[in-house]
Amino acid sequence: MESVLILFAHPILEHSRVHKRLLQALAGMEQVTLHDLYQTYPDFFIDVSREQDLLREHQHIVLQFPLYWFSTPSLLKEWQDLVLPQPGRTTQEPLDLSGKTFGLAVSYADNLAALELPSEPSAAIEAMVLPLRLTATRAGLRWCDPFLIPDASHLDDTQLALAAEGYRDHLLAKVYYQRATAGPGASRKQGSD
Amino acid sequence: MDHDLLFAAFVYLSVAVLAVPLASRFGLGSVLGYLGAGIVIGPFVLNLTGEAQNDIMHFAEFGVVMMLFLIGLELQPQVLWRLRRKILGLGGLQVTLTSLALMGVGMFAGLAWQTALAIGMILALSSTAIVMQSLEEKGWTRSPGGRSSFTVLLFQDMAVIPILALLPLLAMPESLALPHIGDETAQHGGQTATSLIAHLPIWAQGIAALGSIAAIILAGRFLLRPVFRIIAQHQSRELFTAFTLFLVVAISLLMRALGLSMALGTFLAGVVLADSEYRHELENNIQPFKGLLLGLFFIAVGSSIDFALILDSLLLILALTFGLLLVKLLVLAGVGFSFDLRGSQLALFTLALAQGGEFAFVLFSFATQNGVLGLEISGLLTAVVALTMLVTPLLLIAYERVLLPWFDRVQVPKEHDDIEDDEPRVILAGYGAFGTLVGRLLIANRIPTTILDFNPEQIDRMRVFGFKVYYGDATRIELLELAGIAKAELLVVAVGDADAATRLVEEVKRLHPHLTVIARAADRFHYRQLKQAGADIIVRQYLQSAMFMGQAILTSLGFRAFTARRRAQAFERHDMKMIDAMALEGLDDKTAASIARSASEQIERALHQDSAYHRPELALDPLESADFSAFGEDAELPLGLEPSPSPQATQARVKDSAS
Repeated sequence: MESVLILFAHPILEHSRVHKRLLQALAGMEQVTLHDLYQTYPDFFIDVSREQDLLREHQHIVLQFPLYWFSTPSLLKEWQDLVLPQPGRTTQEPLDLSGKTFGLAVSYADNLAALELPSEPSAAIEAMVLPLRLTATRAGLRWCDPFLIPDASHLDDTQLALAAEGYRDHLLAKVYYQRATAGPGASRKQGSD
Repeated sequence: MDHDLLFAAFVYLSVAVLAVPLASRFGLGSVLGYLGAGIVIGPFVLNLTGEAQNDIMHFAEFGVVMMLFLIGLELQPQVLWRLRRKILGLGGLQVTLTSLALMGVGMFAGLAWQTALAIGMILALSSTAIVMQSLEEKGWTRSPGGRSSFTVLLFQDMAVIPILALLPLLAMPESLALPHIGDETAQHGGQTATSLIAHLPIWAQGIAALGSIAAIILAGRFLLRPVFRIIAQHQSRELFTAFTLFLVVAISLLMRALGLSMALGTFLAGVVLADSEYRHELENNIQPFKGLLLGLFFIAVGSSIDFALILDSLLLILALTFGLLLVKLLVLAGVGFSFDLRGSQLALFTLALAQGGEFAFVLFSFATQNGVLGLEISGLLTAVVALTMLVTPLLLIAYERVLLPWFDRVQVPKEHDDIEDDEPRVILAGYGAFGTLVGRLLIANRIPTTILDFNPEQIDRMRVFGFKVYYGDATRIELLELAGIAKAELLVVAVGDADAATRLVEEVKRLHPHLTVIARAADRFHYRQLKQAGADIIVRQYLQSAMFMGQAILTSLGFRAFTARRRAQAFERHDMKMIDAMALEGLDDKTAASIARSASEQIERALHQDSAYHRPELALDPLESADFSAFGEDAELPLGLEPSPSPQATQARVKDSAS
């Protein structure tokens, strides 16, 4: 059960240097299931029961995506809307996510200063991912520190390789150390160096 | 012995059937098999050929003509034009240098310069038939060495014409054996007294020759296509084959009447037609005739080897054979090297072209009749040429078994092929209304696609838009092979005839198991057949369009458009799952019907439970406590925020409401 489900959402992966490289870093990781949403649902018709089965089968959920307008790409939003359990809704097979962790791997093109967010990095990140954090905890998932790739359009090959390696370590840590989140303020900027 | 036609056919076919598989079994190639078969039935072993042998030889030479037509079909005019410098340079240099070198050897041996020059020119030519057949069999025609060999052979075919014109000028009065020039030599590219324009002055002959070549090109471009279309409309394969043969024969006759090379004429016709949509079908039709006639030709060469003469002067003939090979090898090596051939490709080029050609037989008898050569010399040299032809397949085997592995070890830098192959990534079989839409999408995405269809009007329409559409019965595997299926990534089967489509998928999957096959299914029975035939992806031809129509109807009846779309999508998914399940189980109709009934109930239920109608908007009330201090003072908080229960508590509530 110590397995990671990566819900990967990128509508134009062929143009993304960063995410292609990150995906390469996942190759050969036995504990990781990569689920490419745009490849699976090109017409946005999400198979809800299949998605919920995937959630049941994994212990750690990670959403990997590029930040579009301070949010996820639209298919990943559709995924949240349909797949996550909704309070008050009766379903044939209830989805119990308690005890599972929920993390992000987010790239964004600008550096933090350009985002017009609070100047303190941890606060800025906090603000950016707040809706997702609220969603996750509301769905019963345990929030984890996000893995961030800022300034993604300007990374050189060395920085990219470092980020990919960091991503791998980040995922391995989930599997081996069962790292839980501390309080909200404990979010750390990771992988950004 | 009294041989009638049937008996002769029986003899030739039976040895061919016996010898060729035997030779292939031992890795010797079909050419050697045919030559060996010829020797066996020839006058020196079984003596079954009789007097008809010469006639058969002449008849069989038509195989060479057909081969050049086929080679022409493979070469688009632009490609030929790009090759012009190589043809003239490489070919010209090889013919000139070999002629001069052999002439030198001849004069050193005490021949008059005229005789030596004639021999040199005749022996400089190589055998198109043997070389191309051997290269094709080994799959080397597209390698740099194979390409270069072909350009030289092409030049040699053209060089026959001036050589024929030159030979009479080299006549030695004392050796003029025959007072009259026979017309026997007219069979293969010969300019002879039967030429209709022989009585005209040279310049007029030149104009007539150029005019006829221009006529072939113009007719090929503007006249043949409509004629082919009319014939194709009859959808009769026999008629198409007959017309193709007629075309080749007619061009040959025209060229012969003008005293030009028949092979060259048909080659030109081939080049002109290489662009046309009928190219693959033409190849397909001529191929078996060419194969048979070439085989016949090789047998005839084998049976014509005069072993009595060879035994009489064994040492002399062996020395001459060896000497001829050596001179040609040296010149070829030098010429090839100066045209940037290196390593294994240089070796292939050199070894492939070292023999004497079939033109030599014609030219020797022509030279004898014109008093250029004595009977004795030409007899001797004819035997030498035949022996070098016999040696060529052996040289190529040595190349493949010994030299190639050695070069592979030494590692040769990869040479650049100067002709890019227009190999398609996708072959689209069947270009009806359905295939047209598929093809347009592919072409819009610039995916190299070859399209095959059997409907001439349809092809015409698409050709107008600049698509590469070829005429032909796409359900015949040979045509797909010609279209390059071996190297394509994907085959799209969109032919209208369901049974033919299934057979095609089956056969393609058997021969090319790794090729991805996408097929169109007419209905669910066809879907099952295609699944069993091994199609990788099957698209039901009516499903999606019916769903779009259903969606339009629902929308017209007042459904919100997005809801209608979701319903159609959900229905489509369920139906696909059901058909897939039924296809795998191979059920009889009754069971299938009951499954279909229960499936439609399932679908109905599923549609009403579609989670798309349950969006989380109303579930916002209890929010997880979060540290909003990071937003700073003027940050606005979302509405309705209040301390929320823990995740566990939330979960419990979900469970409550679920139960």
